[in-house]
This record gives sequence, structure tokens and C-alpha cells, in this order.
Amino acid sequence: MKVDTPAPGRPLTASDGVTVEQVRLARLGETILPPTSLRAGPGEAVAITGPNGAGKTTLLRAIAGIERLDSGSVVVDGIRADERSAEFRRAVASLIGRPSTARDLTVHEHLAIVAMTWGAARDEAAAAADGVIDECAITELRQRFLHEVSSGQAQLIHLALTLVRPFRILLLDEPEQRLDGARRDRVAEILAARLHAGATVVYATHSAALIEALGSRTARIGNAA
Amino acid sequence: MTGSALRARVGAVRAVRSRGTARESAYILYAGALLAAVVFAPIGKALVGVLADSSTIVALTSHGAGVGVEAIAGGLVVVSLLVGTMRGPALRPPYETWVLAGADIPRRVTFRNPVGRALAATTLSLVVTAAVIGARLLSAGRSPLPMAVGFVIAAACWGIVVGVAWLVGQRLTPQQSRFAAVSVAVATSVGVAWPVLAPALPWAWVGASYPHGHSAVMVWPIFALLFIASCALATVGRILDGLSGPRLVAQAEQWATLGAYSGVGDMRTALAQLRPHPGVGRSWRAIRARSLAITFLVRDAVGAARTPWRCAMATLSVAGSALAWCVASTAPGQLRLPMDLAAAVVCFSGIGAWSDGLRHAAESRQSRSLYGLGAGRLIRLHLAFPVLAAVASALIGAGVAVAVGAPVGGALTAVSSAVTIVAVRVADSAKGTMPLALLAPISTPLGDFGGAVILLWQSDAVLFVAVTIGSTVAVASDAPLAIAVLAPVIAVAAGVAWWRLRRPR
Repeated sequence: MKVDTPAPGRPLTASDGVTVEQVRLARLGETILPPTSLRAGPGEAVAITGPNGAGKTTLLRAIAGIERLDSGSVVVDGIRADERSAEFRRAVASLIGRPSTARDLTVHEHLAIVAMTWGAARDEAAAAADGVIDECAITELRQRFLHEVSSGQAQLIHLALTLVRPFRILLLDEPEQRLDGARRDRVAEILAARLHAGATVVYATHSAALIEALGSRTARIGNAA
Repeated sequence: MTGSALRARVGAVRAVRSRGTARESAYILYAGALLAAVVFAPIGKALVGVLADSSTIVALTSHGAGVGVEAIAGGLVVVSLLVGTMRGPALRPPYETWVLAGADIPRRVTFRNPVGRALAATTLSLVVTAAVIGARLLSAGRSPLPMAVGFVIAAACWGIVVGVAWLVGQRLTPQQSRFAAVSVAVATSVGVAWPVLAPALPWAWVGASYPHGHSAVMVWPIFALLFIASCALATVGRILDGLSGPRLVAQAEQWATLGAYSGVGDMRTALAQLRPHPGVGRSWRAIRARSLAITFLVRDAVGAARTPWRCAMATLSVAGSALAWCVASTAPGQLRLPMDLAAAVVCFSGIGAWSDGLRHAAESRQSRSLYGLGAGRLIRLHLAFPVLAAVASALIGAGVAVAVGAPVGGALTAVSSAVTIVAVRVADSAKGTMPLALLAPISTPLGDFGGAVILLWQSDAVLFVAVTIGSTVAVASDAPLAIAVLAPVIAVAAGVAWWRLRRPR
């Protein structure tokens, strides 16, 4: 599949979406993800819900091509999910757990160098970094090192690092965690903008407000309330 | 409240900590005995061999031996001041520290025991070292008994001073400690260069008490050292009372965390606890070039400069190692190999400060969707800075060595060795976390060797560096031969890094 190169921080093109069919994972004889299917089309958000330990993060990791499947299939944007594929990685941006960050760069520099590794020229990368900093309302953190921020601020910075690169599919694990009410609303606005631009967003969440704000379909895993 | 009542309260807090069972104590004794038999006995035997060698007595009776002792004495104070900022002698487990630092008991009471043990350790170490040197000179008939005894007394006094300097390093802020350490280092260098200043410098008094090169016992330096050791001891209570509670708790937690990670074999995370965070240069432009290669070079250089002290220590370590390699080529007999091995380890440690980019690139495998480049390409981009920094620093050290008469070929070998160590750092960065299978016990007739395997896994890079580079520099006397030996070492390190990056996580 040929991939175009738009400005960093914006989806490439409308995606073909995510198709998960009867995916099941087991480790050491224990089922960690029961057979699960879901479909998320371009410009569509699907919220994965369920109790702690139900397998929400495992499902996201499977879609991100990180987990080995015991059965079923995951196709993302027409590509079989496999994080070893450069083409797949270019299509999918994910924030599942804390990303490995550089301790010696400021927030702005970190965003800019991430954008540069995705093909942005230096000035474009700086502009993209400024763009996501404004969007995530973390202007005051622009010149901070990452050990100088609170856990909620770190969550927003990790989200900015995920958004500063091009993508068609966005995978997020509880993007609302550690955020106060105003910042949760801001995240909802940011994700709504990505959906409007044609990206597919699949996210695990415990926030009914976020689901409602994004008008998401829900895919529930597990039985408990 | 009386002193005994205060101590009883301290004891009550310490009693909360669970004591090991008799079985655990027996195991610790057994492991200690095994360690002594397997590790310390061969080292001790090797040291005895070095001491017995005739070249050692030549070195101990050389013209510069006393000045060398002076430099080492000053260096010990420098190191103590710096170590105190990271791990002071007033250290208890986190819970005890948290309770005792917040209690209404003076710190001269609550932290007296650990500081007392630390002072005893520094004093005993120097006394044993001085006694061994004195005994060797005595047995060779190169020093009379009173002079050797005087040297041991001077060493005991200096051990107290070094211990108190360690505590001072914990009391001062990191900036103040570094300033004090640099001041002592400069004063030591000046004292070594201009012996006329020696009477004014306490570490020079230790050098003056060295039991060779005088016709009689030098009494005044010993009395002067007794005086400053007494003064230092008298200040311990006041220094302890001035220790910052939050900093005591922070150090206790940091070392408890480090111990916990190293206990399960995760030395990478354990050592990360000791790496300083950047605090300066946030307005410096790290991303300024158009090409990725230059961008990563500049970004790594600026990143390193944001922890200037660490960067300076790395430069000194690599330059010092290069200097040692060059000088060792003219050192007498059995001293050469230990010097080369030690220099290799110090150089490996120094280059670690410039390897943050390499480590970050390798760790990026865990969040592959962050960067648009694979870990292998990122590592290649992050490689330029440590290579250039290592070459530049090695050239400084080798240049100094050549200037004082070392052969030029040694300089080329030193620079090649530094570059080789960068290659080993790349392989080490790509190592990843320890396989859980290594935590399984390995039963042998001599007991469980699982711990030895874990230790081997954790220290493979530094052992590899010590064995390959230390021995190459020691054995290969001319530069072309050394470079011919080191080139395959670089190839092996690159191959190991490639394999580690490709294997499934």
C-alpha cells in the first residue's frame, strides 16, 4: 500500500478502519482475552469497555500488532496487524502504557524530534510540536523536562507525542486517566477533531462522559458490571 | 530527656524492622564464605603476588611515591565529597529514616550508629592499606619500624578526615559539594605541582609521613593530622544535626529502590536511579539542524551538556583512562595489567554518561509507534556523539601522556580502545531485561550458583571490556597490533547488538 505524507499531527487520509474477528489470546493456559470481534470504520470511534482485567488493554495490544494471537485475525487499514511492518507502524499511532521518553529533552524538543523521524522537515516539525502543544493546552510545559511534570501533565504530553506523528488509526488506552475534568474535556475535543479529519479511533475507557462526547460505539469485554 | 532514653526510642523504631531468621543468617554466612573462597581469595592471592614482586618495591621506593600518596589522599577527599551527595554515611532504611528524621530527637543521636560505622570503615580501610605498604617496605629493609608506624597513624587520621568529608558531602547541597570537591582537586594539583605549598595542605601531610625518602620519622605531619582528625570528629555532631530531613529520606528511598531492582537482577533500572536529571540549558536549542544525522548529534551533545557535572566526569574518566593506558605501557612488570584493566573499566563507566541516546533508542522498541525509525537506525543516529566525545576525550588524555614522554603508539591504542568501548556500550544498550529463567536456582555440589549466573549476566559488558581491551592494551605493545585485535572486538559487539535488537521481546 502506498502511503502519502501529509503534515505531521494530522491523519494521512481517511482510513479503511479496523476489523477484529474472533480474536482470542491465552497465556500459560489462561484465557486473557475471550473471543472478541469489533469493527471501526473511518471517522468512527469505538470505545472498549469492561471491568479491570477483562482484556481491554490486551485487545488494544492485539490491534497494535504487539500480541501474538491464538486465534482470529486483526486487519488494520487493509494490513494484517504486525508491529514489525513499517507500513503498519506508519498507519497506526498508539498510546498503550507509558512510552519510553528521553530524559534530556524538553517537551517541545521531544515532540519536534519525533515529528522529524516521521519525515517532517525541521521547521515543519517545530510547527507540528507547537500545534499539538497548543491543542493539548500544555504551553506552560513547552520548555520543561519530563521529570518536571505531574502525572496528569505527563499523560497529556504522552498524548501529544502520539498525536504529533502522522497516522490513520489511533489506539489509546484510557486516555482520560489522571486528568482533571477540564483536561478530560480537552482530550475529547482533540479526539473529536481527529475523527472529523477521517481517522479511526479505538480506545479503552472507563469514562462514560468521553464515550458520550465522542459519540462512540462501545465494544464491551467481560461480564461484570 | 537523657541520652539513654533517646537511644531507647531509636532502638524501638529499629526494632520494627523484621529480623532475619536463623536460617537466613546461616545462608548469608554460607554465601559470604563461598564469595570469599571463589572471589576474594584469588584477588588476595594476586595482590600478594603483586606486593611480592620486585617491581612493586621499586615503585614504592621511587622518588614520586610520597607525592603519589599526597595526590591519592587529596583525591579521596574529592571522591568522598561527591559520593556524599548521592549516598551519604547517614543512611538508614526508608521507614526508619522517615520516622527518625521527623522525630524530635537530635540527628546526632538518630544517625550516630550508621555514621560511626562509616567512619570506622574508612579509617580501617586506610589503616590496612598503610599497614600493608609499611610492612612491605619494612620487610624489604627500606623503612624503619617507627616510620612505618607513623604512616599507619597518619592513615588512621586521614581515614577519619575522609569519613567526615563524606558526611560533609551529604550535608551540603550538590552544588556546594561539587564546588568543594573541585576546590580540593585544584588545591591537590597545585600542591603536587609546587611542593613548597605542602606544609599548608593537609593531604600533603599524609604524603610527608610516607615511610621512605626521609632520614627520620616526620613527627610534625603526624601531630598535625592528629589535630585535624580530632577537630573533624568534634564537628560530626553539628554536621549530623544540620542534615536535611527530606534529603535523608530521598537518599534512603533512592538506595532502597536501587537495592530492590538490583536484587531482582534489573541493574539497568537500578543504575538509572543514580543518573542525575537535567537541570540547566532548557533554552539551549537541541533541535537545530536540517539533516537527521546532525540533528541527533547536536541533540545528544546538548542533552549531555544539560548534566554538566556528569559530562565533565565522563570526560575526565575517559581522558584519565587514555592517560593510564599510555603511561601503563612504561609501568613496571605486574603493575601494567591491573592498570590497563582498571582503566578499561573506568573508561566503560565514563562512556556510559554519553550513552543515554543509545539506551533510549534501544528502549524505543517498547513503544515502536513513537518514532518513525526502527531501533537499529535510531542507534546508528545516536552513535555519532559518544564516538566523537570518546575520541576527543581519549585524545586529551593521550596527548598529555605523549607530552610527558609516553610513546605515540600508545595514544593510537588508547583512542582505538575508547571507540571499541563505545561499540560494547551499543551492545549493552540493546541487552534488554534479564530473562526470568535466570532467576531459577542452579544446584551444584558447592551450592546454588544461580546468583553467580545473574551476576555474570549483569556484568557481562564490563567483564568483556576488562578482559578484551584491558588485556589487549597490556599485551599488544604496538598500535597496529592492538588495532588489529580491537577491530574484531568491534565487529563482535556490533553483531551482538544486531542480534539483540532482532530477537523477540
